[in-house]
Amino acid sequence: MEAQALVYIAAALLIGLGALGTAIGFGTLGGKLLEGSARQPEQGPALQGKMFLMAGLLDAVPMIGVGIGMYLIFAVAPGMVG
Amino acid sequence: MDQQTKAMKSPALASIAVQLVVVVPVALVLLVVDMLFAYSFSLGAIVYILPNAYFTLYAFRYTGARSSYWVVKSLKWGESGKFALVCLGFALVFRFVQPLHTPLFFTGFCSMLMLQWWLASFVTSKWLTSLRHRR
Repeated sequence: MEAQALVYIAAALLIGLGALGTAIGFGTLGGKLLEGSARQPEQGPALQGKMFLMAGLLDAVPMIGVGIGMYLIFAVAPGMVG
Repeated sequence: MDQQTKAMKSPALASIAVQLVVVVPVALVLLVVDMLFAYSFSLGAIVYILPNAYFTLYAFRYTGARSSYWVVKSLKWGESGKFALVCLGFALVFRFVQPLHTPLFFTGFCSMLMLQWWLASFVTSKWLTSLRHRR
């Protein structure tokens, strides 16, 4: 039972810290896009494209973290009962 | 909303099409080996493709310096939705799909993730080119 609780805590940390990292990253990314667009309006679409590229790189690791977290919750933890 | 705010045609469908062009042949090859391998890989890919299409739809909804506020707002909603959909996808697959080949499931997911890095630069350059032609 104790081991199962630890698995749930590990999954919660994985998903929660992943979401926190993504939130900080996207906040910075969005802020820089606004700054860049305000300074050079003609570069707006180009900056938006680069932002999309960076967004893909930024959320890769948290997404894998979410996957492993869900695996722990739905596949590993139920097998530990008993 | 500002009158100058422009709604954009999103490249989400093109993105899905390219990803499916990669997934379908790989799944067919795996189907020859084992049915379990094929659907595990395909499910992993789908869990990434659908949320990513949702994000792409939102990320390219608006364009132009005057609509920066809407660009950032739609980016925020797109990413939040993508995160929630990925969580939901993983939860549904791990809860209801039995048996599942977990390594191939994650391989499908990670391969689509890496394909997205290349696709993002490709789609972006195509989208920017079409934007220039429209002006």
